[in-house]
Amino acid sequence: MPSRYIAYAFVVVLAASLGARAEHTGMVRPPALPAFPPIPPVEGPLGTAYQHKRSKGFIRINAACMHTIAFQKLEGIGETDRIAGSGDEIICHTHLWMHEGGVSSFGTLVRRAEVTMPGRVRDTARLDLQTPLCQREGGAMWYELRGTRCYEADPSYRPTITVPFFDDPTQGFVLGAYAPRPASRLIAIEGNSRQADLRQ
Amino acid sequence: MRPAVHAAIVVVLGLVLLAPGGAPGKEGTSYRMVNPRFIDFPPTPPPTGSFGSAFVPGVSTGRVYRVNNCRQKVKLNDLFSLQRSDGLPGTGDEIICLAHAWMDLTGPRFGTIVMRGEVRSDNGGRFRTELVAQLDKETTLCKPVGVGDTATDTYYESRGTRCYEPDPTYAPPITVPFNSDPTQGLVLGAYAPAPSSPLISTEGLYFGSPGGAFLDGAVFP
Repeated sequence: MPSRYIAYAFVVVLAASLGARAEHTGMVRPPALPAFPPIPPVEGPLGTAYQHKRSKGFIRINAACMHTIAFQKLEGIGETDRIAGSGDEIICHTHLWMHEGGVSSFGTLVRRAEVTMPGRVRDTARLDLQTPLCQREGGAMWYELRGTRCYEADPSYRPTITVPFFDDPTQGFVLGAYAPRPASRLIAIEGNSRQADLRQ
Repeated sequence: MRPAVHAAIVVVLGLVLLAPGGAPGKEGTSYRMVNPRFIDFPPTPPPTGSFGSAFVPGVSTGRVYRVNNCRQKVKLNDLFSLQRSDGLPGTGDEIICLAHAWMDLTGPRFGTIVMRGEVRSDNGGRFRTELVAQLDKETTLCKPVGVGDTATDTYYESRGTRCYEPDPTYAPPITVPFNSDPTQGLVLGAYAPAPSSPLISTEGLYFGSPGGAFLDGAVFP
């Protein structure tokens, strides 16, 4: 019987890897293009925690507004205290333009994530449960996402959150402006890093 | 229950639960991270212009795939108010997609990937297109990570692909043309200007009922 479950686990991993072959985003057509300020570009200082090839990381947002930050094998990133908002978390920014409830706006999703083991991060937030935004009934739309950027901890970082998370007011949406970057070093940004799949 | 049925259930669960973005075919996104070696390029230009009537929310669909670090594909389905193109590359009747990006392609670069795709007929008078940029095959610039084993080639600041209706007058100065079609390729050292034609759609996420009604009270089938 155990061997059967091992086989099943193998099949699950195989199926998941098949499903993960291509990174993708959808296409949207907002009602109009507002004249919002451009997304601020990536700025330094750059860090060394994310080592090419060795480190792994991804940002995932699914249809249920579940936002996941995951990293493995970051160098020099120690375990945090697991107390939300205490300032020792890594910080991730997603600048975006959005249209929700008939209103267009722009700003930044500010996320914080605990380091549960040295160099390892995995944190998920349901944005629709943590805020009044990202509601499926209203048909929320995000675009102009240049790419999520993640930074090392910065205890002094306190941007003005317009729509805070219910359970952690240090996270949430900054609207009407883009959140400034933390003073700490950049860990990584979203990009096309996927290894070539020789089957394609 | 028979083991084969168990296995089938497990495969389906694996696909549904563990694939990036959740269930395959549903809205969502999952992207890997890079630690860029180069920054301080000019900011990518924001979208301008206006949307045409080709993309009908709730009916039309589109997706940007980034198959690996050197390849990008855009698929648009169930488009309206277009004309079928002639099937010949570079004749100016193609849908145009622009992907502004910062790049680490054996050195610091920034610019725009200019892609073109033929407009093909779909069911019931609708149209579809597929645009493919294979930078490793079409240019000498990009080496796939894992091939050659030292490649750091990647692009980033790139999550904003924009697609436009055909514009026969659009001829940006392509710095690195594709081997198969010199009207496509990379504009480097500057961002390609937008075509003068209407926007079809832009890369983004929609959180809502699939096929439902949305957008300022407008109801679509």
